[in-house]
Amino acid sequence: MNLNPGTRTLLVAVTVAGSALVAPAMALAETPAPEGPIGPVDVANPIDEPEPEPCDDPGDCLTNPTEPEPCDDPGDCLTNPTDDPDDGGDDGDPGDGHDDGDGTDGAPPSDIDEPVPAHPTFTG
Amino acid sequence: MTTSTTTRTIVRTAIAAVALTLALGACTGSDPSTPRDGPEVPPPAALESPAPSGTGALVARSSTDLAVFARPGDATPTQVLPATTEFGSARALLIDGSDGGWLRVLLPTRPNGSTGWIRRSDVELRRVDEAIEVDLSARTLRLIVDGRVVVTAPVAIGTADNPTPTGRFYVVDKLATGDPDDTYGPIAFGLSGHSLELGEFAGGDGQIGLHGTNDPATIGQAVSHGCIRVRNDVILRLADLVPLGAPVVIG
Repeated sequence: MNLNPGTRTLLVAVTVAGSALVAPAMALAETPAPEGPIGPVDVANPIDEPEPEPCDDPGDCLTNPTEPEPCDDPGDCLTNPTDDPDDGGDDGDPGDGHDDGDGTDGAPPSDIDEPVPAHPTFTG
Repeated sequence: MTTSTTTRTIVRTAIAAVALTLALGACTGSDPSTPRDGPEVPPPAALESPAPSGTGALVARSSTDLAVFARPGDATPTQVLPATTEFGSARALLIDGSDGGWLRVLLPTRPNGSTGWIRRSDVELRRVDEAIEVDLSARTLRLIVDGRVVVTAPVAIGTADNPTPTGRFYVVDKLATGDPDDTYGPIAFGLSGHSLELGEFAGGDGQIGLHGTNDPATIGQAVSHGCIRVRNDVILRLADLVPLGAPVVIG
């Protein structure tokens, strides 16, 4: 077949790239299988390896998205109140947990106020 | 190679193919933390995706008349807020800054966004972990508690002639009308914001409200004079969860 140099280079590149993807899969296929029963196919939990520990570390949840319990939402870990993203410095914000002398830190949570019996005159 | 070994080899090949697919997929920018919001609005109290805002606001509470000053250290107040609102709600002011023994608060007065300074020693502070966000374009409301969305609901908003104002407000009043068939429904929240178009409405000063309705068919539409309407079951749920002073961000 008569191919110009550019086409020939392209074909070689495609062939090499394809081989690079297929080779690891073939290597895995040739690996001797361990003895014992075949369990459910679980990509996240390879056969014969113990189940992962429950996710009690919010940071671990972020790096282990396949762990569904109890942190099934990585965002939940971000807002976990045990996390303190603050760097410990006082930036002057009221109520940020750093005492800047204005007495705004450590305020107790607000009670839920009961509605007052009245008829409004809001814009409706 | 036995049949069993062949089977295991096939399974492992399949696992490898799946793993390769997942690895390539991870490179495409897919985000496991993508919110699960769908096109349909779930019922109130449905647990939703985490939200980045709405926790830890500070509210000043006062059981006596409260002097408001233009600047920290001023000797003469610019106004004195009564201990209760005109409807009888306890006085609660959202704090957005401090300077020594002074607190800057958002005022429930015109123009929207007005601020003033109060003395720290004149008030008690409370932390509010609840916040309401209203998306006017989507016509939805979200209640965020401790950083998580716990209520999502459709709303009715103001018309083009009487639009719902945008900005950062807070809950000033929680009123019980005593009648679920009232035009305001069983509960009405008064917000710190006011209509930009109406200086007076129904004998009031154009204060924006968040309330129920006796006409649930209007929910989802732009039909109000600026207030935000929700279904009665939603406003009852909000009344159970939202304290005075809770931020309400409308945008």
